[in-house]
Amino acid sequence: MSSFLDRLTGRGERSSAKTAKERLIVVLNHDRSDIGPGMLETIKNEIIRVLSEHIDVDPSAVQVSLFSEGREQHLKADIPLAVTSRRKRIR
Amino acid sequence: MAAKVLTITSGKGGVGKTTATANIGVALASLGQKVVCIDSDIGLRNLDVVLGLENRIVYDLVDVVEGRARLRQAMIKDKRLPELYLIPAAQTRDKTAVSPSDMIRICDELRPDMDWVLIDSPAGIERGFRNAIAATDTALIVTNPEVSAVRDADRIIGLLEAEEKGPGKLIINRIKPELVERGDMLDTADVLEILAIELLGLIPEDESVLIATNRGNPAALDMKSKAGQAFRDIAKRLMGEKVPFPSLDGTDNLRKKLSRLIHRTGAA
Repeated sequence: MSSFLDRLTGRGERSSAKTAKERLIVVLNHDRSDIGPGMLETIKNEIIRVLSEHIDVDPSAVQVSLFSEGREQHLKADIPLAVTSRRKRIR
Repeated sequence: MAAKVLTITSGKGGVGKTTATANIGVALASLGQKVVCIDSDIGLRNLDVVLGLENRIVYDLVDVVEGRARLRQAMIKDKRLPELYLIPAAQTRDKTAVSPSDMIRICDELRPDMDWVLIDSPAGIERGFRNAIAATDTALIVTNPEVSAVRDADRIIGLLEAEEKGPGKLIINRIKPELVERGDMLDTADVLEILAIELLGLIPEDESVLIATNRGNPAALDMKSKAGQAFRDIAKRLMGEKVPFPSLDGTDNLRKKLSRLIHRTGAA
């Protein structure tokens, strides 16, 4: 329903302005923080390495990203705990 | 009297810095303010032609800096408005002919006699930009609703903040309401959300600006020009007046209103 409306009102997937906005947000997060995609990957791997010494972490599930609140930059790490770490504790 | 020094800057070239400087200068002077516009784009001067004062240049900014002329001698008096002046850039020199401390000294000399000093910054983030922001009280960042212009504006805001001269105020220039409405141009809300600074003006794309530049008569002097009106609104806001922003998003359009209503209802 909403995609039909989107198409009808020109705000759906064909809206190039939406794409422009999304791309700008990503590129500005990197520009502002001076943290490129490569460094973000390095940070992620370091976090995984350090945490793995203490808990089970599923490396493929870890997400490290940049986001802005106004002109303030944040680094966000989302680290789901591997199921095995909970099982171990229960045992 | 103590003038406020405004620097009109953008990072990216071709977004309308010089047009904005000329028009805001004209609009402020039309309100009875004493205004001097300084072209700091040494080697690539253009503020003189946009203002239609190119035939009156005797001395320029570099002549003042190097002591060949007094500041007053380099101030070209506008032919239309009694309290509008231009200090042109030198055309045959480069940005290193002026230093940030020269700009501070010149602006300090102008402050007691003027209400506004407008500095037209060159594109880029190098020496010319450093000169242009050295004496500034407030930077006016000009951008277009377009990916590269917004990215460069963000960089400029970052540099201004690093110099403790930020964040500045935003002017979005060359807005095409029909493209915004169609979803093919960033709208005002998008640009403001991304750059997160105060909005000063919204200027529609308007062929009267080109015609005005052809003639050397800034659009702000043309009461029928939409862009001219937008620049006059900026001047009033700078004077402290609350002037509502026009909708340039096609939001008056019934279809869009309807779609917003449906979206809102759908989300609730």
